[in-house]
Amino acid sequence: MGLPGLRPRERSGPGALPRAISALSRALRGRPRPETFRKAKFDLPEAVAELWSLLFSLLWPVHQEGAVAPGDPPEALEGQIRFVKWVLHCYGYGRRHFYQLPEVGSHGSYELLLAFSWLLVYLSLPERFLYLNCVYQGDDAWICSCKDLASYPVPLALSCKGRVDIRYVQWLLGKLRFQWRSLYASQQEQCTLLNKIHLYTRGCHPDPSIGHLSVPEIELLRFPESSKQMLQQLESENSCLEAFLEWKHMELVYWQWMDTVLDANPIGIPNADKQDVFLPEILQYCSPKYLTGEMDRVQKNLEALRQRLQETVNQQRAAWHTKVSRCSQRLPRLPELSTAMMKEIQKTVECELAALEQGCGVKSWSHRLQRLVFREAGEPSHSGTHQMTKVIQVLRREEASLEKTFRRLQEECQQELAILARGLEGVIWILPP
Amino acid sequence: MLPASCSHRLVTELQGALAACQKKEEELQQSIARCRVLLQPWEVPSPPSPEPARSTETKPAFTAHEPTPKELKELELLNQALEKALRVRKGISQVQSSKSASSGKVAPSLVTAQAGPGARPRTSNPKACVPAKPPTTSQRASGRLKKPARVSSHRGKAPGNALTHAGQPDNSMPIKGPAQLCPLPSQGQVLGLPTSTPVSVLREAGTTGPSPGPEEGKIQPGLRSEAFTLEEKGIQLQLPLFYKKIVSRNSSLWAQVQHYHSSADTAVAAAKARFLKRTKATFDLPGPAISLSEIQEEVTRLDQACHLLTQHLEETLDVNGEAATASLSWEQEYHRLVTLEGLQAAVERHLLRLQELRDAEEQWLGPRPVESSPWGSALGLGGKGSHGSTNCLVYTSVEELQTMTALKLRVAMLKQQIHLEKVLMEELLPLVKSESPAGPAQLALYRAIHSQLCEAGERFSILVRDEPSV
Repeated sequence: MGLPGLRPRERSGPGALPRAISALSRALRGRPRPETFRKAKFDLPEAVAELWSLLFSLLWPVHQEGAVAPGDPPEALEGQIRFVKWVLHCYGYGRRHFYQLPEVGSHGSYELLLAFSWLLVYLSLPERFLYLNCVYQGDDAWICSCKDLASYPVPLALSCKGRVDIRYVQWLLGKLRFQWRSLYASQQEQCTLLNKIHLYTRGCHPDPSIGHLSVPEIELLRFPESSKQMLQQLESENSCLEAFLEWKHMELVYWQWMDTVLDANPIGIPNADKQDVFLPEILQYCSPKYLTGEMDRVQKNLEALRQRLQETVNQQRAAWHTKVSRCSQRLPRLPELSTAMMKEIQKTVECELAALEQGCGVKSWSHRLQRLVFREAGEPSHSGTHQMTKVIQVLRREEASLEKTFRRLQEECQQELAILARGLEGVIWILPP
Repeated sequence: MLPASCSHRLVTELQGALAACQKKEEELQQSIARCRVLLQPWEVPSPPSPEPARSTETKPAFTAHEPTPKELKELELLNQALEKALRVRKGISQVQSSKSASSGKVAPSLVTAQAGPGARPRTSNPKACVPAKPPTTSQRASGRLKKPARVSSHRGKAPGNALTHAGQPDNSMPIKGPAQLCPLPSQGQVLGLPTSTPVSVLREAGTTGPSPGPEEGKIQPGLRSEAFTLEEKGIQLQLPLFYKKIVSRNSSLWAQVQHYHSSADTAVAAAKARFLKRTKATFDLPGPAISLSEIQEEVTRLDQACHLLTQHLEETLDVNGEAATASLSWEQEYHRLVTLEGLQAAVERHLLRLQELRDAEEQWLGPRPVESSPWGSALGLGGKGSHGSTNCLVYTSVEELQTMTALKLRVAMLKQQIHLEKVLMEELLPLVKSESPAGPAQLALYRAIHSQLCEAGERFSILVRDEPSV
């Protein structure tokens, strides 16, 4: 799909490179200037500051995306440079010279250009940036609950030498139960209000597949002045998208140019200076220590599951063999299960498990933001929409499985504590009914 | 007293969980407040030149009324939500941050005006001299909701008073109410955008109207001079033309972006691959065999896989109920056995993969294999779909929506509960095992732990000291 007015001839030739870079720059909200890139090719110091701040401004939001508790960006250039270095290190970028660049940002624009281009490919930066800054004008609903109630670090002020009584823990747990209840009540109320809004504005949306207005859209009518923000954001998103498409169209020129940049290499390879590079760990969730902890946790869960499966499979197998042998004493072959049928079952199970590996059909769309749309039962629904009934079904399954897991954990504790209770002398332990 | 390390971990985990709940609650309250504002009677938009003095002048008029405690509470919530919205908006628009500095003071006065009973009689926009046609749903409208504009002079009176004026068909009269009688300062002011902001968006979008005023008049005939509610006239609302234009341009652009994503240019792909390869050849820094971020992605994937496998196991065991194993048909029983064996194999595979990751992390290499971007594939999850309906989630009744959100909360809650249970088990069970003789304090600890671990803190067991009789 080409842009109107751009013929293939215009993808190359003089002036194509600055145009490509300028498109990229607009897609990234006007940060780098084409001139900066040319200077960086020759490792000129003038380009350094702009490139560092470009890298930082692109990488920072990408890394705040998944964070539960977004932090404040470092103000000083030094902190920003450290952050960029650490992130690139996490992605496995391995040019020693890049990490040795001074944190005052005095030189190294060539290295920075390479790192930037590498990120363009490795992280698909322009695309990522577009998705990150997407403006939503619907009533959004996340189906997945992976971010719901995800715990996040809080600064602690523990008194009395850091020791607390169990009653304090109980009190906190009680408070948490209370919070859950109040969350439930608020959620129900929000649903009612949203539904009212949808109901009252039916037929107002130009897109018949949506039908009614959303809260941001009604706010646009209700408070036209203050909703200008959303319009501006949408406008700027549009111009970013246009620039991105232009960049996509002319991208090849840039990569061909990068080839010449690599050829130029004003620094000279190999790098003689083999001194060690020390990087302070900035992203907690990407540090080796944190990862080891996470691996331990996942391993523990997997091992517990293995143990449980081992027991279950042994039981099941024994039961099966008993059944078979009991049967084969009377009959020469299994009465109801032919070899062909067994093969068929094996195949079915294989497919089921393969689907599970891929994270189920639902998982693939459930991590996306959905626009909530109200349609009365019986009205025709457009293709491509997701039905609430299906979501509810999936959630019910998940709920049932989690409840079982929770009960199993409780039973495990029960057993442990029962052994202990038996050992208590002179105390009668009466369990709650 | 619990040991220090145990105390620290438990309190950290619990505070983290509480903070997560509170954050969610705040978001919900904010959304509720936004919805409520929209469901309340609508004031006709103010002209883009409000005098700042207006809000201060109106204040005394409302202090005469005693708001009910319920209203005060709502008011407080609204205030909180609006303040938050203001802060968020400020953060986004650094350009206008200097202008919106004064709006923080305005916000509370708005809400005072809205929530107080005296605020209900609405005045009309002084510039909206368009002869208004009577609302179609006037029979249903209660007096205080569809106040004729002239009643603005009675603003100090109670809603009951206003009711008597409701039926008067004086709305064809040009309204000459002075600006300061308008109880609502412009919303634009309230949310941190001064109304004097130039309407550049509108012009850029190529709209025909020079300012939102006339445009507004065109799109909403009959909605001009009366306060109304969404319930009465929501159906007559129409999105402004410029908004429609922007949105349709937006979706067509996204469609093109998606198209690019699905059909990659081979020449570009080759050039990019070549660049990656050439850069990689220059890597000279030792590091783990797999990059840290890739390890992190993999570990998250394995975690998720473990969760899914457990879920599948529970479901497999649940078919027909565990007790009814004997009554299973041959097929069912064989199916179950094969499934379990398959799950077992999958777990083994995952454990092996985890070991590989551990080895890779420890094994430091020089130039590393950076083959292709692990992120590119995940990108399909973002952005807006090519067509409006592809990202829609359709519900058919409020009950359905409530069930879904309740279930979602329940799932999130259970995950939190299971996580906490595991932490409590790790911290508290060793404590009980290690300490032997049972003093009263110790017994109280046992009882608390038992309640928490086995009964989710909802019920308690009874411990009776059975003193050996002499």
